[in-house]
Amino acid sequence: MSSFFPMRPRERVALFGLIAFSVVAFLPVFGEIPILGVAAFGWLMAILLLGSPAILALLVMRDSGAQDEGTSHHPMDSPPDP
Amino acid sequence: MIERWLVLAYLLVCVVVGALATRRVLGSADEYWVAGRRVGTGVNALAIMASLASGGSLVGVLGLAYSGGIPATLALFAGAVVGFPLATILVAAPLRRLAKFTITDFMVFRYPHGLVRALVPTIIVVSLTVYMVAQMKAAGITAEALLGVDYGTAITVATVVFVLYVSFGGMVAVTVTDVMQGALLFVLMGVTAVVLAMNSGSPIGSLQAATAASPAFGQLPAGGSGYLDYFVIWASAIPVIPHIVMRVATARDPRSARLSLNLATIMYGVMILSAILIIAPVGVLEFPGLTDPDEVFLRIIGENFPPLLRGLAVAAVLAAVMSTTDAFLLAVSSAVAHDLLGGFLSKKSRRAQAVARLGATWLVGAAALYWAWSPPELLTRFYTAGVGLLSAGLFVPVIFGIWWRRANLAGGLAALVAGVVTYAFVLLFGPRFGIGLGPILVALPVSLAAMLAGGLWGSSDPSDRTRAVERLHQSS
Repeated sequence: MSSFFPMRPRERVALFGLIAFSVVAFLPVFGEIPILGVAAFGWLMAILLLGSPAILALLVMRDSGAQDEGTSHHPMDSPPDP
Repeated sequence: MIERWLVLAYLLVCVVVGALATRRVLGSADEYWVAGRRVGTGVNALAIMASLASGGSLVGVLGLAYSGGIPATLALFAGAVVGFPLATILVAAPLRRLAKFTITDFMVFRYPHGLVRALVPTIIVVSLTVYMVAQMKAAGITAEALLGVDYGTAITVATVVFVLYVSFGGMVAVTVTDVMQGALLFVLMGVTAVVLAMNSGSPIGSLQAATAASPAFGQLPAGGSGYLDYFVIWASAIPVIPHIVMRVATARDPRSARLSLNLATIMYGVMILSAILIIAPVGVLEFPGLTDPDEVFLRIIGENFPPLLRGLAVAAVLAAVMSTTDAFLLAVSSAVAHDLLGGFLSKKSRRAQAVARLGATWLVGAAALYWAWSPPELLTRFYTAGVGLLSAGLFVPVIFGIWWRRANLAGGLAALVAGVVTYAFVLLFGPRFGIGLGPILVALPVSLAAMLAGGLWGSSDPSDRTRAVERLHQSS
């Protein structure tokens, strides 16, 4: 048995993706490349600002849609393949 | 003159909302603290957005972008935004299934110990009261500058109004007023951005012209890494910050809680991006060399808009301040009346409990008002430190308490105490000992190490507690 309670695979991917994106965005190199006069780091933060909640909102809506259709009843179940 | 009437009308509506909610909430703790857990997704999203968008989000974001540049400002606000997806994945559903009121409830459920019962609400009271004082100071300064009302009168009137509607209307009144305040903020920021974009012809052109006129506006500040601290503080604070946790508890079900958190954040993100990428460049081009960068929003509004919109802008700044402060006031009151005195009050009559809830709200409001009359000069640093302390103490025990099977009382206590002590130590003495990292970047790993050590070498929790935690992960 794993030491951690199971997490839905899609949410696990979203969590690690979010952390990885944040870590990469803070690499010094992105502070030095300008795009439209603004450092690339700023644009990455802007993507994070809108993209991360939008992806999570879609995931939540998709999960609840699956539950409404009776295809997923328990958070510990692996969700069905699309 | 029209500005004063608009603000007075707005304050009056807030008091009326509180009065109307009184009958519903005063007889029940569930209604008072979490609005009976019946708040719908859209309403909750707007209320969460309003409580997230403080005076800093309206006036401060433009001042920060103007003086610190676009990239660092985006990093500060992205930290808070990233906290919401983290909260969605890691805490929203389990905390909603726990069906309690506060973050202290969860900590006491997971780590039942007297130290947790006393320390967690104490940290909440200290850190959020400091934040409330900062917000009240912003309201006073804005009213003084735009309405010609003196600072003391402005903060007294604003405090009496929000203490009135919070104390009598509880979470129901906070939700209704936050929805009004959120809508006002969103519309004002949207209208301002659209009008300025149309006036300039091309927002991208304005952005490029502003970065050409002032290259630092598009660059990261040289040699500074403060924005990384800020990013981590807010990203780790949002999943455990008491007023957001209470908002999660008001949702109809876990799905609604999770969805409303992200819808709120999308609205907030749109607002912040409009401010930083469309409005701030106009400020840099039209008002170069301002000695007080926080003036930039008020200058833009004053130069580009008619009196009616200026009045709405003042009301929106007050709305931003009040929607954050009322949520904090309710959270601090719950820390006193529910977390600290809850055990004692549970033996009293419902009427006595209602009086205690009212009394706690007035007491906290009065203390904040007293402090706001002569706030310390480094208030911004204090409230950032307060939120950092909260995050350093609670993030690891809450997240691991939900997700790690081996989390136990020893690990939870060790992580809580180690996080708080390390944060305070690095904040106060870090530079003296040559610690170059921000306090949160040291405190979180230390808290994590303490949790792992306690979990691996301490005695396991009783099986009934482990089963209770397992039930938090089950949808029914």
